[in-house]
Amino acid sequence: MAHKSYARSIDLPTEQVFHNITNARRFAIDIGGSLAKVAYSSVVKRKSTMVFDEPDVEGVCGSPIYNVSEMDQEVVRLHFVKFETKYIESCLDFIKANLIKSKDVVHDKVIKVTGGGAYKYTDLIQSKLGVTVDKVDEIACLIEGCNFLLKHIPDEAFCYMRHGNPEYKFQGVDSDIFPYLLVNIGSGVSLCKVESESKFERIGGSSMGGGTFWGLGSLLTSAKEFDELLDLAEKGDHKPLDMLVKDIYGGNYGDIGLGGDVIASSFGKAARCARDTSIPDFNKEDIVRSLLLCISNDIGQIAYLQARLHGVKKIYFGGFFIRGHPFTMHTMTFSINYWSKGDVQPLFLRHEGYLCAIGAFLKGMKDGDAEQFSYSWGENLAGSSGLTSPKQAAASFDQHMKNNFSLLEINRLERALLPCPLLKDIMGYFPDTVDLTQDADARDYWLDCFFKNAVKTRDLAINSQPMSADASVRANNFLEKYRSRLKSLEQNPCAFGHLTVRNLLDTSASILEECLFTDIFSQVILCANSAPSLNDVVFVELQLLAKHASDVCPILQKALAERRLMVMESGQRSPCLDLRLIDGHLVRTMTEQEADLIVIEGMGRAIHTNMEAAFLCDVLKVAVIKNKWLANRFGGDMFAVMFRFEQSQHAPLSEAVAPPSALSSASSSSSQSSSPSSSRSTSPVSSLAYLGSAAAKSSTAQANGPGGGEGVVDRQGSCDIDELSPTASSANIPITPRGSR
Amino acid sequence: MDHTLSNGHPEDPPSSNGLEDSSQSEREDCNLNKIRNGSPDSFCDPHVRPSMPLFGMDIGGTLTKLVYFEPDNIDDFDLAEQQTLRTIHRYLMGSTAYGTTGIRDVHLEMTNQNICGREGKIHFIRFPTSQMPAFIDLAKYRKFSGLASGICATGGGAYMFEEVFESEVHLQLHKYDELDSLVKGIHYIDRYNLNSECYYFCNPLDPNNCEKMPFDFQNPYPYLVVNIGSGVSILSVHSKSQYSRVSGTSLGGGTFLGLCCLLTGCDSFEEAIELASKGDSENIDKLVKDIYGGDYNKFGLKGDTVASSFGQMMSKEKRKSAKKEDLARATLVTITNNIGSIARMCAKTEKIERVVFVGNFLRVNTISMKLLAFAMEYWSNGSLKALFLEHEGYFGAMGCLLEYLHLNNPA
Repeated sequence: MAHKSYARSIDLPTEQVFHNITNARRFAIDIGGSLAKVAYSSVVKRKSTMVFDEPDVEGVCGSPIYNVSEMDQEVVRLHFVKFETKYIESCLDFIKANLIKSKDVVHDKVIKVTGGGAYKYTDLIQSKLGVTVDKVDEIACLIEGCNFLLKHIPDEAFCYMRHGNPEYKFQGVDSDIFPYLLVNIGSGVSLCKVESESKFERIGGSSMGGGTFWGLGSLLTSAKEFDELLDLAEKGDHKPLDMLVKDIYGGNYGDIGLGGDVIASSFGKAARCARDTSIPDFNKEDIVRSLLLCISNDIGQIAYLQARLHGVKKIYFGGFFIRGHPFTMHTMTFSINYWSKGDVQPLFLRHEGYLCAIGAFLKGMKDGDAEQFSYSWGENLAGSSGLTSPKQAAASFDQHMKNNFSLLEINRLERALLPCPLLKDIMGYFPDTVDLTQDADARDYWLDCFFKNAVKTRDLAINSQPMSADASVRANNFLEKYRSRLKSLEQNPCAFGHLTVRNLLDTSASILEECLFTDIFSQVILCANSAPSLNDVVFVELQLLAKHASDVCPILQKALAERRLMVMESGQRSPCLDLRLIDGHLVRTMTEQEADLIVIEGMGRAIHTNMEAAFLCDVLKVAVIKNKWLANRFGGDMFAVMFRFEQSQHAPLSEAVAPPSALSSASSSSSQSSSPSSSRSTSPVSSLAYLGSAAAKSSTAQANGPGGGEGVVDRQGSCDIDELSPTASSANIPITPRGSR
Repeated sequence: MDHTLSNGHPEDPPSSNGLEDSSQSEREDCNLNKIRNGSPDSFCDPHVRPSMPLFGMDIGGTLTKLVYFEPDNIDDFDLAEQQTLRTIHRYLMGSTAYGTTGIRDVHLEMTNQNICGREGKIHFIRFPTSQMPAFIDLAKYRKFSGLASGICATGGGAYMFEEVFESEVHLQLHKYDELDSLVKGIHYIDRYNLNSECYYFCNPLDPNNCEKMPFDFQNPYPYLVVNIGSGVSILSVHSKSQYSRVSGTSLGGGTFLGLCCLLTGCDSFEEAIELASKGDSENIDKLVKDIYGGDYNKFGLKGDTVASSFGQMMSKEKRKSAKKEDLARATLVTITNNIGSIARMCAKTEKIERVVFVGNFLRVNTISMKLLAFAMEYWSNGSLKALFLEHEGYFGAMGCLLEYLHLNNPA
């Protein structure tokens, strides 16, 4: 076979590199002169509990009132793996060997292949994978991929300022990205002007690119690998090789503003080998430094010249040359700022190496299913590699090997996400109050805080799946991954874009998800009466309401789907609540989920009954006093609010906490009833039972309706839906009324 | 970066000779104004005879260029001058090579020149700037200080070696801006070279019929000058007195030679060019066809276009079999194409069609000239023309000599 020479063994845990390869559905490959990128989509199965829409309301007490079953939820994920082209054959073999589950899905399909190698490796790919190769234009893919990343991945693009704090300035997500110049630095350099999704042209190129650095660098030193060369450059000094202005002038060339340190002639000092002098011995580090400097400067200058010729102010760099290498980025930024006097902005991409592969993949997807494009996409922080840290640049061998295989994973989100239309300045908007990349104190604090807290999170994860045998293995896996991520963020806080508390939480969540934990935090059981009384909403209605509400609210929908919000019935029909006899299923659920907060809401439930009741868990008793006599008796006014919080009483009660209440007389704490002894200790809120009226079928029709045993008074037409806000303490149902600004 | 003459002459660096300072710079301003006003023959005043000898020196990063005007009738001068001129004649004309590295470019000699009423020849001499200490020793030993009151010098070395000249040779270096001198030198030599100075290559796209042809540079403006020395400066010239430095790159002749020395162990420019002339860069570079199997039609890239300079050297096997000659050729092609590419974009930005390549990188380097001619023609679809000048690297030194006339002969 002609390609035999390219087959190399890979001493890498490839199953870790090719995540979910066994489920791969669709492939695209970008084969460049030196690096190959494989893109594939997989369907990731996540454990998720589903509640059936049509519950069996006839269900007798004690039997399930709706069907709950554990299901595999499917998430579409895009994977991108990058490695040196010389490994292509072994990688194809690996893919072939591992495509067990979806062999039929892939077999005989057309896959998009782009890059120079599309031509060279067509036969190899077709024979290995049993697919038909459809070659797609490299530049079209490049631009499609770049547009995709700029539009979908937050903090994809950044400016680099060597002396800035932080060094990286990320650009956020921008919907208005055109026009821009894309400089793709592969073996050579291509420059494209991009004016819209469909309008672009290649306006120039240069043969001095990554291949020149690699080729010349390897000739001049004994280094073989690209990253090896970058490491050498990091340690070198260019001055022994380069002829500076001051080497010629003895100082500045003041007349035309050339500073003494400006390079007048790259490698100019190496040329001083006149016949009568011995050839000086140069350090390989210095040689490579000069080389990197000269190529980076040159690319920067050419990019600037093209940007000026075409009136473009933004330059993005893609390809495999930069690799987040600070010295290279600094040189290019310096070069472009120098020539443009700051008028043209050089921007780097966190995923510079994947543009073409992403583009090729998207093209394949468009052929298959155009609908995919209505989705939003999000980076899977758990499965992607970050930017290399400047401190790691003098890398260990491990790091070096990791660099050979770098990963990007993108999840298809269930719904399209768009910017909030009411934001005054979407471009200037920055969601995070503190940027941890800038604020070193805050960064140290939060990284440490999350590091310590990870143990707690692991424990919660283990507890969230008591039935699962491997929960603790997976939870420890989470702990290890998350902590190692925190460590790497300590090294390079900018590795994944802006570092913020939000990102740290997101990362934790996505690693938990990766470890098959859906939700380890709070759940809410929303209860309603089983049978009608007054104007209270009953269980069946509440279910319908929840369903309709979730149709318009993805958060509610998700919460319901993931069973973080459960609608259940109390088993009662009275506006009052006798907790001695409640629905059996509710009882079981409260026990199983270890409810640790009960919210009792409504005059009937929290005042007429249960006002003095003590609980093993925390309890909130909330009511609006809608009866004048009663209000007077408590020493308050009509519509005053009773808000009473009592800590769990299984431990010796020190003091009941009574938050500010409008009805001071009602806030006197409950009697110090001796609590049943229990060894259960206080734990963070993880499950909450909400026992309320979920009132008002129709606020007008029944507001002053008859039979108001409690002397229901006019609600002034406002919908007294007994807002969910009392449970906002659980932070899972962030519903705030519109008029609350 | 813009540096335009009309914005005023760049400030003279402080001279070590305080006595002459003020009068000297006034005179200079006066003469420069004259040039700026564009009088038809502003190089010198024919009625004022300059004192001899007339030198101009351009001390560059790699090479020092020396231009000397030798009057034909030495007998016309007073005795002291005669003696000086004879001494210089004996030393310079007795040979075409000085030491191991100094060369007089006899083929560039300009005869029948009239400078301020004197008939004579202009000689062109060069030696490596690394030999400057030896030159200084020689000047000291030969007592150059008795031959001339000062030497006009330009290039970085004029600043670098100013003090040494003053203290060791007792010669004052009158320093001039190298770009001013360059532009002046081009105008003088183009105008007064009796043979054709400017040329181009016809049929640059057809290697078999590509030939050197004279070019009439009578009405040159506007034009771009790409001066390729150790590094590269690019000037946009709009009239005799109006020019600006629009760009430059550190990848120049010094880069070619430096890389060649490192890659092949050669130790002179001539040797590097000799190697390159026998080599084939296609064994080193990665071409479009090496990647795409042919042309990349969608974007009009021919298969034999270089996609990645030294791109094949990423492979260890290919590195092992790489020949010196091929490496030298690839280096030459890489540097030349890169300069061509930058020059082309500058010309486009400046809306200029004529691009004049000068500098010693082009000496004995037809390969690069033809490549540049090809690149200008090919990538601009024929809208740009690459021009070359016979006196390649001597324009700065020539312009500097002309400055000497103004220094000695105020109008």
